[in-house]
Amino acid sequence: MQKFKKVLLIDDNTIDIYVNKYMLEKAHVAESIVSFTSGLDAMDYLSSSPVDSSDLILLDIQMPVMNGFEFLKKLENEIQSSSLPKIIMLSSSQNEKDFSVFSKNNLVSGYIIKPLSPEKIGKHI
Amino acid sequence: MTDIFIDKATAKRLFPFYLVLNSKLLVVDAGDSIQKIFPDLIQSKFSDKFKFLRPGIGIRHELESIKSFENQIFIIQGFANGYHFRLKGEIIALSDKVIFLGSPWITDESDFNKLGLKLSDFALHDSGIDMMQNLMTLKMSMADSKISNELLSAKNQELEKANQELDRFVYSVSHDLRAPLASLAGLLTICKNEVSEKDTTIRPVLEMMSASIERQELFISEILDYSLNARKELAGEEINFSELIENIAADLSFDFNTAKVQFLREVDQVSSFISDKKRLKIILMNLISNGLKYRDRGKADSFVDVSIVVDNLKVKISVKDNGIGISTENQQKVFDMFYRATNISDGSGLGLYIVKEVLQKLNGQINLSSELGKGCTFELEIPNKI
Repeated sequence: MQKFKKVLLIDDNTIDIYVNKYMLEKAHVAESIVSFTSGLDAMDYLSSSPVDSSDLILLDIQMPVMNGFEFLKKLENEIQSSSLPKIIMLSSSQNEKDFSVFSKNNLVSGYIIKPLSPEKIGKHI
Repeated sequence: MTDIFIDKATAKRLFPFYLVLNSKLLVVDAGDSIQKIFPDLIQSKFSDKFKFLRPGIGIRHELESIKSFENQIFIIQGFANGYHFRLKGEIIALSDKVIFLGSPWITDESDFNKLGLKLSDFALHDSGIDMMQNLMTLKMSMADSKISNELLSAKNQELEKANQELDRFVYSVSHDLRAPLASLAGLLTICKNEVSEKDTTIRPVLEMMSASIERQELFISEILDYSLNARKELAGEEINFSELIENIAADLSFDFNTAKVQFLREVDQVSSFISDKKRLKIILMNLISNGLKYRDRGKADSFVDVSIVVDNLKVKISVKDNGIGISTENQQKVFDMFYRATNISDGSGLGLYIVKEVLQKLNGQINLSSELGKGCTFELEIPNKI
């Protein structure tokens, strides 16, 4: 398991944020964890607190206002590729369409079906 | 032998389009129907109203010339109501006149309508009537088929729309229905983590909650499998059965290990095989996990044994277990929707129904042999689409 400086949890479901935060803390994945309930909030945060390759973003797909896909697009436009953090998608469903879109996207390094568990953290993070 | 006498009224009835031309080629007499087309026909010059289309060459507007073409088919063209029409018939040459016997040559319904004619303007023996009736029937059936085509295309559009809606519905089932379960499962993991290892009241309850969620998730994925099979076009791709079966073994390895069931498999594939991989996987996954679910907990050597033999016509798959088996009277029913033969596992009653449905799409067949307490064997044959 990789150790990160910072993890950004982006998920509109606060229960999932709660669960994921708990799991990540238990597994000592990062020094700090920040969470956002929308892609827009996370973009705001990024404009004042830059991230780099020592950080991790766990990104939900289905979110109102700005979904996971849109967030990725925005991120790609605004952040230099050298300072991109590791990005893992989180989803409740094993939807093939989503899966094939993300497996072609080189910003995304993984795809986890919720809920996050110690085993999945060990395997994907 | 008596001469048959035909009076003028009878002649008019028999040939409503007849013309009598005198030596100067004036129309001196004519049938009622042709007079309906040309009210001023009598005493007018034939060449003012008509021209010869056939015979085409050598005929002149002279009595003797016309008479010389007796016993040939005549087609004469007239012009009335702003419309060219044709009469087809023959002539009878008399010493100082010719009689033209014929009727409109009808190839299209409009020929008829534009002349303002009715069916009753024709002699009953006239084949033009048959033609007209055929044309009218044709027109009606064409109008009918146009209506049914329009209906069909409207139905098609509706179906397409329903399909798209179903796609969205399936997406939302796969996501929205599952999302709260995933959240719950996460919360339960936290609970299990926080409850003391020694606890004997809360921990079993948490485990039961997890099992309930798992059951619900399985049910959702079965519904998705069913809808995928019903909706998606058949795909054709190269199938490597060893790879496919190892994938399934990996997916189920945790369950096989915890249930202490041996998973035996043997693949004999020399020929390449083309079929629908997703559908094949649904079938195999269902049969194999059934073997696991309905194991005989009293036996120490439980197994599920899959054997696959591929040739260039078909694949023969056998999935055999030494589980609880299925009684003879239940063997037909287990393929019915929502039918459950036992309470030993909390299945949804969809698994084998889906297997049957998917197999139908693949043109395959399945045979079940089983004895209660001994286990069961499913034997399948699926054609190679190579």
